[in-house]
Amino acid sequence: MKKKWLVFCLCALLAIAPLTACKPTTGPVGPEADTTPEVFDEEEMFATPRTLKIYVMDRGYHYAWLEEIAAKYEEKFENVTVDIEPRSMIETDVENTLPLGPEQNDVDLYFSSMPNFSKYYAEQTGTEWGVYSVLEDLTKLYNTKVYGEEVTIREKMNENVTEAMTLSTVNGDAQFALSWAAGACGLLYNTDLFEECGFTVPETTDDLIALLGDVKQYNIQNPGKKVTPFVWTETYWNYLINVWWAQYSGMDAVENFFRCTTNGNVMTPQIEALTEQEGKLEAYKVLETLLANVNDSSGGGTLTNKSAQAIFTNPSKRVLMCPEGDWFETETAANGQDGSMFEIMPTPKLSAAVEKYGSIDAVPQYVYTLASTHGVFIPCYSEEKDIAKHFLTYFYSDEAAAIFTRTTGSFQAFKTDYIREYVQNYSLQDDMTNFRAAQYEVMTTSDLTFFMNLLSPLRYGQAALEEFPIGITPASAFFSKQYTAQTYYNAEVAYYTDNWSTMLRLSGIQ
Amino acid sequence: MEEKKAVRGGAREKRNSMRAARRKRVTFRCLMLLLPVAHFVLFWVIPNFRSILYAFQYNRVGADMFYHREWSLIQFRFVWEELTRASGNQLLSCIKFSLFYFVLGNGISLPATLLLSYFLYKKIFLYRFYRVVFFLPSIISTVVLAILFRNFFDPVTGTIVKINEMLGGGSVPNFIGNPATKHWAILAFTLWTGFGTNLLVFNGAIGRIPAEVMESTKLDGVGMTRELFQFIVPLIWPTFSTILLMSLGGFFSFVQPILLLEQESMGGNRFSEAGSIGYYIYYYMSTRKELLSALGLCFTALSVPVVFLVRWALNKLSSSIEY
Repeated sequence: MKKKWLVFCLCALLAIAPLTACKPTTGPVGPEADTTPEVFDEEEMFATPRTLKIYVMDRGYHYAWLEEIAAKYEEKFENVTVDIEPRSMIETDVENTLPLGPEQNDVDLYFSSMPNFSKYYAEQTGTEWGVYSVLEDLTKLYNTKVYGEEVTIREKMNENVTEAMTLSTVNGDAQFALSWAAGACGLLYNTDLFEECGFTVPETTDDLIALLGDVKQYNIQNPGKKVTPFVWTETYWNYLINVWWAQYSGMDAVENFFRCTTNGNVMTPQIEALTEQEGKLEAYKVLETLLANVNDSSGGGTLTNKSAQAIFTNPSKRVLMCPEGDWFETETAANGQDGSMFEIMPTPKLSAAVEKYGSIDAVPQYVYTLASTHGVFIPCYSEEKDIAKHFLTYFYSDEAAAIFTRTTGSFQAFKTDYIREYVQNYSLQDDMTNFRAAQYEVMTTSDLTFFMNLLSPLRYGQAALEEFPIGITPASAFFSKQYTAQTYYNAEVAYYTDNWSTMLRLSGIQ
Repeated sequence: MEEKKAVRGGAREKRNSMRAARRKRVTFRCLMLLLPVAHFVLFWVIPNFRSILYAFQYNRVGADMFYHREWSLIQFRFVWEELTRASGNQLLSCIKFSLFYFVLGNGISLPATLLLSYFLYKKIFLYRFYRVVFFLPSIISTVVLAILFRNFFDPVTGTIVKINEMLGGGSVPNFIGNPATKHWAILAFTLWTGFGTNLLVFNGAIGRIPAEVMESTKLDGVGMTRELFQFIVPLIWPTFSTILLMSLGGFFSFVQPILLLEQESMGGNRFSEAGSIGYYIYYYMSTRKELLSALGLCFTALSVPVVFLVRWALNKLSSSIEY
């Protein structure tokens, strides 16, 4: 009998233990939707020696920029030590450290990719520390003035980027992360080779397609000096697709697509927001035509980014263009390649959009950036979160942004005027390579487009709806001739239509 | 009277010593069982219990944008819907690729390893060298091997390019990156790195076969083929079937080679065209834990009878031989 009771008790204990772990503690504090700024008492904050521990993504930009910014910060505030730890697999580190709490995790600031909001907010993983989200609510910080300047972070940031970082919460919109990099991604071209062949930079997609015809002619006339139009890694074509799509449909339509609704309320998704995206189809048509004409390109369409870079920077390969990002110069330099004779061109305007709007100038100029996928955030339980926030007010200052740009060649996701201001104030344009000067030109003359995963539970929740959901990227689909632009678009529409109710239920909306 | 007392005392003493011995035995058994039981509870019961609970949970998004947990069987319905999706069906494709890796992987690897073990046993020319060469991949980190493999097949800078140039070939296709050939690359990598362990096991099993048996085959003038298939294979059948059963367990967890070869290959995070069931679970680990828990239960329900069936069939094929 005793044994039976013992077994029963043990089983009950095992059953109850996980349930208690799921139960939230009472009284968490939610986002306040507060528009007042953070107030820092610097005298008190820096009265005693303190250490700010940072995990930083160590990839294309590396982390010398943060070391330099941190050194400047330490100079200004002598009692602070900034301890920087580079992490190449930072997403895994965030997953492993963020939920641990202050006893086991001493990281105060993460310069990472975007955090998993479903996990850190919707699941209320911060309840243990008296708040809903394990990520510190940075809404007030957005409204705080940048260190040494008369402008707030929110005012300085590109509005679309801020919107992409915004999460709908119980008390309205709130921000739990800030963007920390926003360089231009798009079509890079070999300036020397363009000049040698007498080609001009295309203004529209029709010009770009015509350029492929010119290349063919050139190759016939110069058999000993043949050039290849493109070399690429498949996902990087997505940058151009996004820009063409935004040019045709406008950023509102793109945002609606990521929000999965046209009425602004993510809790009432509308399939039309996904299926009625003519701009996407027009963008696919251009890409299909481009890739149908480059069968003889070196390396084909299945290269890794490193391989594509190696071919593009190899003068003997004579490749004209390559879809790439702002990290190209630093990444190729790290691999011993010279990326200095390459420039990014303003993404050629979609000819269908030119037709729609009546003239080239009427089509908005966009550039694709990874602004929304580079997030800096603070654990809610950090004991040094006041310093972490204070450090961020310095990080968004012109001085720190100039260091960032000088070291990485990338920019902050500021409004174009603010980018221009810090570049000019710190005379960065004087030392810029051709590549960086072209980046600067594009960044200050274009509006930003980017991936927006936070805007709908359909995307960050269990449905995990991706931008290109049918399991093959457009570039791969068109290059392998598995799909045409129309059949690819139809397949996407069929995916949304066939799976709509399942996706809604999977994401927890219905 | 005295005698009776003495007898009773003796019996009591005997009882006491028996009790003490039993107590010691129980204590010893408890202590011996403590570690495995603790391990089982901590690393199997608790995580799996949580996981089983997830399978019966549904997170509904409230107007407050928080997840509100409900008890439901809906995750099993989601599993079915994932399997029967009309478009963009990743799970079905993963099951197909898992079968591909399992059937071809074992279909090539096991007979090849067996043959190799036999040749090494027969002490063919340079057998010591071959033993090291084929076992080497097992003692080198798989990550290092993946780097070597990727560098060899790199279509721009790889050794394959140089070999191709020497043979006068044109451009080299991207064996690992191309969606049409990616699964073959993963299979090739798995075969290359998977030889060593089985080789060791088979070598051990063949080495244990009594010398008298092998001598008698020699005296009877048995050829090598007959010796292998009619003597060695039946004699090491229990080892062979154990390896096959163990590999069945890996059917759902095959993921490492895909991750090692897929990483960074296409400049961004997207679902691999050659993903397995293990890869599907890995890819959706953070967004679909409830669905994956239900999927796990479904696969367990399916695989347990399969494992028993295979075990029964393997035992039927050849009876266990003691020597």
